[in-house]
Order: sequence, then structure tokens, then C-alpha cells
Amino acid sequence: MSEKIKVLIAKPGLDGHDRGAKVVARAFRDAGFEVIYTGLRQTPEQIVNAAIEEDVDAIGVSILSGAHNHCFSEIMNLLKHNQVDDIMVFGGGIIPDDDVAYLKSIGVAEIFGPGTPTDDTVKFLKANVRKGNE
Amino acid sequence: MSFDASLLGRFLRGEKRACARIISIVEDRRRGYEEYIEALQPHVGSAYVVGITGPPGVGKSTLINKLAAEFLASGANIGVIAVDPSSPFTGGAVLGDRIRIGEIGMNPKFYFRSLSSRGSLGGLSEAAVDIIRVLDAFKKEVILVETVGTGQNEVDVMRACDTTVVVTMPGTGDDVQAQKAGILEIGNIFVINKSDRDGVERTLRELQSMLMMNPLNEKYETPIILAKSNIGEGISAIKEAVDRHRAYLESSGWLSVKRSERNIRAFRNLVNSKLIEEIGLRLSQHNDYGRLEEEVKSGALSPHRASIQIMEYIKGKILHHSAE
Repeated sequence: MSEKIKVLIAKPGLDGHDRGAKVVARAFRDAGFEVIYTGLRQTPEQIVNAAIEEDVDAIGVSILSGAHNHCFSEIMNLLKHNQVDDIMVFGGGIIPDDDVAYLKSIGVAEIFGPGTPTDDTVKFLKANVRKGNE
Repeated sequence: MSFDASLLGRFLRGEKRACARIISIVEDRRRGYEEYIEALQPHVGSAYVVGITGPPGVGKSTLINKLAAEFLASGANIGVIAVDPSSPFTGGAVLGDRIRIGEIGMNPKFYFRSLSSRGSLGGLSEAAVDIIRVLDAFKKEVILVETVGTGQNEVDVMRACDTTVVVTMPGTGDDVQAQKAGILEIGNIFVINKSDRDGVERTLRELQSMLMMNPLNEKYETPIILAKSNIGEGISAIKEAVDRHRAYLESSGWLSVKRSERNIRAFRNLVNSKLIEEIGLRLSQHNDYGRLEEEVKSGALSPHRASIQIMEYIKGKILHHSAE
């Protein structure tokens, strides 16, 4: 058995639009990744807990409700608090450019906006995920 | 990356991330994983393992979530392992069993782990058995293992459990037929979920007539429980049935028999897969192997004839060694 890239795809907040999350999840599966999908309306606490339990390499956060700044900073804080901030966080959804700069400043690795080819996201993960060795 | 004593220390202090990491090491069969299993051995043996199986869509994930909540309410420390199929083409998987975890997800006594079946390479049951061991050493008192129960791999996972619950639902008569070979023989408890649907009497009759064909056991009668797990109906009956089956296994001595058999199977499976890995690797590096593959490819040699030649070669090596 080989080590695979493991990614948690998470949907925080109150919007119920998970089409984008599912498309990305499927693209990752086809790239040979293992994807754990959390389902809708997850709190940052639930997302970080799931990431720890599943020992993922990365968390992909999909958010379209406009609450991204709040949700991402909560997630980043919780990762630090639990000493698991080596898990890479990236995001997708409707996020204005100004906010992208802010999100990157708090440690979010990348934001993939609407229309990003899924291949780009796959390549980014392959290049940037460090297989978790302590 | 080899054995890390500080990781083990963090695990034994109950740190969740250390447990998650050791599970990954064991699941991936990373170098030195056996050392962790060995180190955990003194802490293993108190968990009771309940397998829950049934075709997709019968409501297993919801049922497991509710059943886990029932066990948590009784004060037990609970682990869940949910096995989902991976793509046989890419090896990738989307594991969605976490979607059904409700509020118990944040309970510190609860640990949930998704496990992909990782193609047809086998090894699923060995990995699952080892992950059960890890959770056992992590002080989980009851471990629930979910599979869709198709194929030898998943049947093997269920055979590694102490109690097996088979979940079905009305209107899946054909599924029951399809499942006959394998899972049904090892079911200790049957659940007809979504029991408000049409055809529940028929499913019940089919199950009853099938169970009548089993050899009579005066000490334990296999129960059939009607449930509607979405509203929690039948969940406490399932927990009671698990407790009853456990009491039967313990009082009759069957539990220790089952567990010895599990150890023997694990040993044989490990030897088999390690042999295949080790000898396969050496063979693939051997010049003659490449030549044989070429001849099979071109049709000059039949696959069977080529395999016989390989086996003669291997036997020659073994005989040569034992003569020394």
C-alpha cells in the first residue's frame, strides 16, 4: 500500500451550495487522492476535528456565503491552537481579491476562484503538500 | 521514517493527533509500522468490536451514528471505522461517511476514521484489523466497523469483528439473495431498517426462513430487529442485542475461540501478503522474469506455462537453501 494525498473537503457556514465542493472532490478522486467530504454546515471546530481524526495533508474549504474571512481565520486559529498548523489550507468559492490577500496573510495557501480548471488545483496540491512525516 | 518513541508517548497520553498519525502509518504500511503494533500490544484487548454491514443506501451510516450515541450515553468510549470503496482505476476515493456524524462528532470520547478499500490489492482486512488494534490501545471500549459487505475483502473485515450486525431494508429481496454467499452466514444480529416502507413483512419472512436453515443454537437465537434509524427507532434494541450476543459469547467461551481464530487468520494473511511482496519484488528485478513477460506478451509462451517456469525457479531456490 502506498501513501496517498489525503484531503478534507469542508463546507463551513450556512450556504448550502456544495456543487463546487463536489466537483473538486471528484477531480481529486480521479487524480488518485483520498478525499473526505464533511457535508454541509460544518463549524470550524468540526472541520479541524475531522482534519485531525482523518490525519489529512490538506483542508479545502468551499464557501460562498461571504463569511470567508471569519471562517478561515477561525480555522487557522484552531489549527494553531491544536498544534496542527502544518496541515495546508486552501479555499474556493466567491471571494473578492482584497480578501484573498488578507486570507493569504493569515496562512491560507491559495484561493481558487470560479472557473479555475480542476487540473490546476490538483497540480497545486501535488506540488505543495508535504506528506506528513513528523 | 521509522519508529518514533515520542509519537508513541503522545499516543499513550491520549493525544488524538498521535492516534490519527499511528493509524495512518499502519494503514499505509509505512516502514516500521509493525513496531508500533508491537508497542501497543500490552494495551490491547479490552475493546469489543461490532461490525455493521449491508448494501449501500440501507442507512448504515445514520444507524451507526445513532448507535454510537447510544453507547456514548452508556458511558463507553467509542471508535468508528467506516470503510468505503476506492476507485479500482485511480485508487482515489471520496469518503463521505462523516456526513452523517451529528453532534456526537465533538464528543471527546468519540473517534471517527474513514478508510478506503484501496483497490483490489487486498490487505484491507489486515489494515482494518490493525487499525482496530490501534483504537483498542487508544482505550476505545466499543469499536464499530462499517462496510458495504461485498467481496471477500469486506467479508474478511466482518469476520474480524466480535459481533456482526447485518442491515437490510424492505424491498431489497434480491440484495438479500446476493448477500447470501458470505455475509449472511456470519450475521449475529439482523436489522431491517426503514421498516415503515412497503414489503417489510416479506423481508422479515425471507430472513426468518433463511435463519431457520442455520443449525439450531439453544443458547443464542439470532434476532431480527425492525428499525427506523433516522428517527432513532430500534436503536436501543440493537444495542441490547449487541450486549446480549456479547454476554453469550463470553459465557460460552466462544469469544476467546473467535479471537484466536482471528489471530491465526491475521498471521496467515500477513505471511501471504509479505511473501507476495517480497518474492514479487525480487522476481521483478530478475532478468529471466522480464524475458518471460516478453514471451507471454508476444504469445510465444502461455501465461500458465510461464507461471509454471517461475514456480520451478522459486522452488529450486528454496530447495537449494534448505539443502545447505
